Amino acid sequence: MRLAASTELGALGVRAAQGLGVPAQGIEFRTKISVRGVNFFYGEKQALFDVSVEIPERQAMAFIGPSGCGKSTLLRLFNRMNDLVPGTRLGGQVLLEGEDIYAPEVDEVELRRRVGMVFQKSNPFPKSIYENVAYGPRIHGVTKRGELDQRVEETLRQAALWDEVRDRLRDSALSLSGGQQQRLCIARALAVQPDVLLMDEPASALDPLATAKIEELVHELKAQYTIVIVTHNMQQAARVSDLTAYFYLGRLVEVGPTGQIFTTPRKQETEDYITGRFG
Amino acid sequence: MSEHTDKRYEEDLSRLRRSLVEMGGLVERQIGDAVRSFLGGDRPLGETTIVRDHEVNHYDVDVDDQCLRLLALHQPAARDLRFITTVLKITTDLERIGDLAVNVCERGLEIGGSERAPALDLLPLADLARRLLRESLDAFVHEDVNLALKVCQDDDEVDAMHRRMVEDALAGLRGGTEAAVEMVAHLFVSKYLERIGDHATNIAEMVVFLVKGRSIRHVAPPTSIGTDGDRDV
Repeated sequence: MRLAASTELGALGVRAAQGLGVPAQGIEFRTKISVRGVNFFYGEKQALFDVSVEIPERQAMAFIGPSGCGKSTLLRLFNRMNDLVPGTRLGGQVLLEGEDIYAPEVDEVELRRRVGMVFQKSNPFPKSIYENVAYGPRIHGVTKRGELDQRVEETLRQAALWDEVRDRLRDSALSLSGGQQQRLCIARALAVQPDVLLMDEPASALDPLATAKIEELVHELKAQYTIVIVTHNMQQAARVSDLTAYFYLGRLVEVGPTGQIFTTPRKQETEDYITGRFG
Repeated sequence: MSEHTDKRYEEDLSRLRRSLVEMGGLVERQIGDAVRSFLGGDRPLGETTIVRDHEVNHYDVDVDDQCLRLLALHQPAARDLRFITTVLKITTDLERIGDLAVNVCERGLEIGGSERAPALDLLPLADLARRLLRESLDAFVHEDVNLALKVCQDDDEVDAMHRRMVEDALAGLRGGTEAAVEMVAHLFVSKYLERIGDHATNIAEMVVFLVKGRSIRHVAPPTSIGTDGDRDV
């Protein structure tokens, strides 16, 4: 779906671009993920209520909100991670480039290749640095050594880790620092050449320096990938995202350009939350 | 509006608001005393007012310091961020108004107790400039956008009065007057009062930004600020 700037999403994207100092004239934004009237249940408990939001391609969108607001639940709908939880039920639609990702014919493995995910706690395989990155491409059919080497190097460079590990690719991934392990997990997700990168609190367990590296990485990666990041760190959302969505009690309260959300939110609930008046 | 869950943050913001209001009150008093000393030839009052300017400067430094601490320690957002940036700008305007009050006193001291230039009636201009300052500060305290917009509009009248003052002074000087020195001093004071109107307008414009999140600086002042779509804060 190609959306002109005059559509609601296009206008939203244009404002975000303006906030970044990008010329807005004539810019068009494609919708990457489209959430339409989503209701989601864990058993009897409803976690999301009639959520609709458009996520533009090659932009970073942050989901913020207090614990239990549904932001991680929504994130996990984008690569069907919630399918692994028994007793869940979904109403509404989640479209990836216009295709319903919950349609019966959808291959979940292929979906998760296109929609990669990085979690709060880094979870590298207990294998070498090289094998962590090569694993994904290998199971997706890349078997030639030269190709694999190239993919590993490219991906580690993208994840801003290459210079730190190039001489120790055969070392165990578990020998890396926490921040390096998290970047390795990002590299692992990128190695299968996804379109979308989901990040669930990717820096919450890291020190400020390692956090800064992850944030810088998000900035660079959004030139190629659509990024959705869940964070409790409001300043992180402000720093890394183009668009911010605020959730409360399973409802999407407000979504808009990050600059606007953090200076002049439209809803009192959003303002109360981001100014710490939430209690 | 509900309070912050962080009580220290809440207290720090309250203290900042208090400091700015106190500074505004002091500056109002300074300009009132300065005009009285000039028009009444009250030398002691002029000297006292000049000395008291250091209190205004002290507030300026203290308010800046409080703002920087709040920005560094609390990473404010949204309304809090607008509030702190508004205070940072308003304190600069107030400090400048304090300086202008000193300038008014200095012109008064220069012409001593001599006969004034009766053709130039500064009192209406002084009253209006002081009123705009008071109303701009009231608009800040009560977050009153309508009052702030009124200040922006009424500043045109201050400008017009100053222009008339210049024309009257020129006419007097062309006609030959023995009170040329006093005339020039009056002209200076007229300009200072006109500048005070501009600073009051700056304050009022920042009040609109504080409340509405929209900048109206450097554009023709609107007569009203409507609702911003579905913005309900």
